Amino acid sequence: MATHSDPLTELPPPSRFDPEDLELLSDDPSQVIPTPAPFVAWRNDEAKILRPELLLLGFSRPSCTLLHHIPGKKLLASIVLPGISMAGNSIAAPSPEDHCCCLYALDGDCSIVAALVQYRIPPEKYHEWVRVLFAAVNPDAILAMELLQAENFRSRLSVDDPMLFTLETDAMRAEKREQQIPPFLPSGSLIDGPAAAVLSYCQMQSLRARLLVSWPERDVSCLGKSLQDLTSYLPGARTLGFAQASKASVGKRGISTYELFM
Amino acid sequence: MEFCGDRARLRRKALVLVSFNPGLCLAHCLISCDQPALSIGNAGQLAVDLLISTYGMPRVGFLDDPHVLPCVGNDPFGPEPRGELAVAMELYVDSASDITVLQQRSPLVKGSTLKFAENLADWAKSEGFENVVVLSGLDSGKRHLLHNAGPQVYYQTSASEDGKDELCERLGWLDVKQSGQHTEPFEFSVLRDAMDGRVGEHDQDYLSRLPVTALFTSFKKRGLKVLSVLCYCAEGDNIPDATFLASACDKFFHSCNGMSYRSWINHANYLHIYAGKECKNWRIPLSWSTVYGAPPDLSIY
Repeated sequence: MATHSDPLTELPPPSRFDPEDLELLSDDPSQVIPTPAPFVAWRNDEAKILRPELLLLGFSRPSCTLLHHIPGKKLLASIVLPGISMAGNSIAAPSPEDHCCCLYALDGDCSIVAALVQYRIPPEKYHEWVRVLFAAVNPDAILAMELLQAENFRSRLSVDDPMLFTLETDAMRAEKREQQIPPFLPSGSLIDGPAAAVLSYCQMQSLRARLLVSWPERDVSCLGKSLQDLTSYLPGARTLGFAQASKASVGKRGISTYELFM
Repeated sequence: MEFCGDRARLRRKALVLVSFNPGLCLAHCLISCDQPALSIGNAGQLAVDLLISTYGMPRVGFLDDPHVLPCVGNDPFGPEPRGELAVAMELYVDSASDITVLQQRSPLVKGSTLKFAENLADWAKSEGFENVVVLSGLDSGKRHLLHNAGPQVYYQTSASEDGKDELCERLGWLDVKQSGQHTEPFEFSVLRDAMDGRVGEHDQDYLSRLPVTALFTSFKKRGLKVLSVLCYCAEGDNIPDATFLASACDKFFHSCNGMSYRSWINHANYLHIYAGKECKNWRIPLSWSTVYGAPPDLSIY
């Protein structure tokens, strides 16, 4: 029979420090090993700055799956994040299951560039990663896509009811809009993570940026339709077929362990 | 730390900001709940929300620091959500009190408390702020003087050698040392010794280990006058704690601006506060309507 400590009668441990208190305070600088910064690896081995009219950023699985099904896209570069294991990544061509971040030109003249973020960026690297991205890509407008985070959403969520919300920078809101945009994220809810880092950067730099947050993870159709509507002003986007790509990507996503037991 | 916004609109008599304490996860307003709370009960953050909302303080800029986790949301103050983007650190001003208020909505990257405190202190110094006020909640579980069991504001000031402030004493605040807490300056060597178990076996060292003390020390080192305004609270419904802390801060700034204490308590808007009751004149921010999350799903009944 295992013996259990009795907090009422036994002496307290020597330190009363809450380990969580100590973890939040800084490490001894002499013990911290700095990790290398992220960098862009260009396919043609030629550093450049892309200047598209629109930069699409896929942070969620549905958005990356949808963008993967856009035909005819051309691989331009990869944002390498040191510390991310590339074990299991395909060698022939990037796949939706790889742990990588690839930049693609969706049309022939690079007026629409897409970044599919398929790895988890550590929180301490958000700041650096965003700056590396925008040092390589200088777009007129940014459209990022992320999944709604249930723990940060202050209303009811049902896996049967697809939802789509938006957040915009002040520069984007000031624009005269002709497209129909999804409703704004309700006040009180928030988005964190790398998508928030991108939108915050764009807000501070007065860039025109919009973040689409979708729900649930398996629903791609409303995201595809919204993408079609929001990019319709670009001549290069009209032939991309976001709505068709969303139909093609239905059912292609692997089932998570959680869903197996629902 | 980078500032983006209208520098000319900053009010430099005082900078009011909030501290961030480790603690239980708490979903509150526009504060990420999957991270340690910014302050016990997020009391500081809620108090700042009340001040900004009630006084209609305009937003004048943002701060960007690599040690603050990013978050974005919709307009937290209303009255209607206009789609105005809110980010992790925003600056608001109140011209009447000549103060700038910094609202921080998300916690820090793990292990970067000291660096953040130093960055913020460097920025405040470079912008020419005269005074700094830090609002924070303290864990009521660490409170060990039973005769101070009621709501009480504690303060810690760098303005005098003996740590006393005449105005704070007149407002009925207590020097935090009277709560039995040690307030030695937050030094890295003290922290390292604590981590090795060489010091700090007592709860009196609780305050000296907190990030509010890191902020206090960083500002003090740079010659800024800093005042910490603290109250003990527990995780839960922290709206009363926020109201209490906001009222204390409000009292302080009105007193600083030359309104005598007597005339202040006769002001109609503040009679509720003086009587210790929750003030009904605070304007509740729009984002607080969902502070307790989604309504229950009635279909289960």
